[in-house]
Amino acid sequence: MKKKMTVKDYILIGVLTAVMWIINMGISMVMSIAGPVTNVFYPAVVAIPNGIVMMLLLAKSPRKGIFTAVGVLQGLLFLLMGGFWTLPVGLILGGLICDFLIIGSHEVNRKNMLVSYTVFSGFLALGAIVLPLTLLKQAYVDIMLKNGLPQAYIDGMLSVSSGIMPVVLLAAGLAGGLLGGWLGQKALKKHFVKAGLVSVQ
Amino acid sequence: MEEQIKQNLMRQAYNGTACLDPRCKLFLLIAVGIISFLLTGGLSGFLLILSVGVVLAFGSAGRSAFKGILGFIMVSLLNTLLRYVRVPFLSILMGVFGVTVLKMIPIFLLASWVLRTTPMDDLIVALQRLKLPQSVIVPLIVVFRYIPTLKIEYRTIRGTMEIRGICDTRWRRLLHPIKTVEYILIPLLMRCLKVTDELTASGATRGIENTGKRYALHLVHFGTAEWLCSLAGISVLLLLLCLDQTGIGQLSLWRVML
Repeated sequence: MKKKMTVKDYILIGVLTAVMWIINMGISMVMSIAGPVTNVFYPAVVAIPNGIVMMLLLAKSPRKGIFTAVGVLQGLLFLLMGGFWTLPVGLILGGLICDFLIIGSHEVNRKNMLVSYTVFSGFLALGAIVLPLTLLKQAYVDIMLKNGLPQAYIDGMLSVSSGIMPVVLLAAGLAGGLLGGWLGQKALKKHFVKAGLVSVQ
Repeated sequence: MEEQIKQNLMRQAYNGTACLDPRCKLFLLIAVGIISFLLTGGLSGFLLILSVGVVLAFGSAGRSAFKGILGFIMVSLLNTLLRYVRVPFLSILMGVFGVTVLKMIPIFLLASWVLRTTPMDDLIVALQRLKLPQSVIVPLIVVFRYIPTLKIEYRTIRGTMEIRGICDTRWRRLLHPIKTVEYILIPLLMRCLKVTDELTASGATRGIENTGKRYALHLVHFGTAEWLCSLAGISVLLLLLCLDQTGIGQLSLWRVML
């Protein structure tokens, strides 16, 4: 934990972020084709396979600043791909909070890996879906009306984004993160620790 | 002899706008990404992809610009057709999905062009001139370098699965997500760990650990041409945004024909 990050850590972060980003793009594309109701839950689903990647990253190089680096990188990639500005801000903020408040000066162990990944995917859901939906509701409706969508569909979209739904979406993001982290630790134990590639306290 | 080697090294595969500073290209990419989602009208969206196509055509990528514009026209035509001829499920699907695709086409077109025409050395130098820390530059370069490789890795894993007789179709992948993760993601991650070691060694021999000021073979300089291009790009994009507010930009593309 005391050791600073080396170039090898940077390269590992780069490679695994590429994997996480591809997973993210694939799942979000499939779920936005499936419809508006599944679309809003995509951060929660994305967090599950990405949990495995993130747990591997944390176990392989347990340094301070991993979450921040991943958040900044993914934020930059989404910014280049035309993401809304809340997504990079949410990711970077989540990374900073995970690194400095939750892991802080402790050693990286199983428990704080899981907790910090849960919080991180909560921030992903916040930046990707919850904030854009609440901030941009009117613009969304305008665009959909212009495209000649039926009123029933727009009502459905509004009911997804109003009332208690932001809280539900945030909770779904947290739950996805928890599930992904748990699965990731199981996968680590089953495949990577056994092969002698990583070791977790 | 030496002169010839120097000429071969300096010869560039691309010319025109493709030789601009990477910072200028990235700036244009971010600007197009933001504007593309703010535009709502049919005509202004079409003008956006036309202007992206012009930039590409001047940067020795005329063919991909043509393909991108053709794809845009086809998707928007399909979109409009489905609005008039109501197919029960497909109409709603295209209404939501088609709009997103139309917004993403210019961004993807520009992004793939930027990646293709920017040598990684120049990109590293340009990012370093932007005063980004090494902890951001190195992973970012690795991401850009590794995303195309992921496709090859994935194909290798699928091939190995076929040899071992593990049947895997697209339908099965959706029906058994946990198995998909275990059969595809875990080998991929194993491979990633190995690739990391290889890339570290290969990077170390090329001095990626060097924190001093870097120079590239090509001149990386934000000069007059870059300023002009950035200003022209921004003014075109702002013009499109203004046009979008008036009635002209809101014209649908295909209503006249139908």
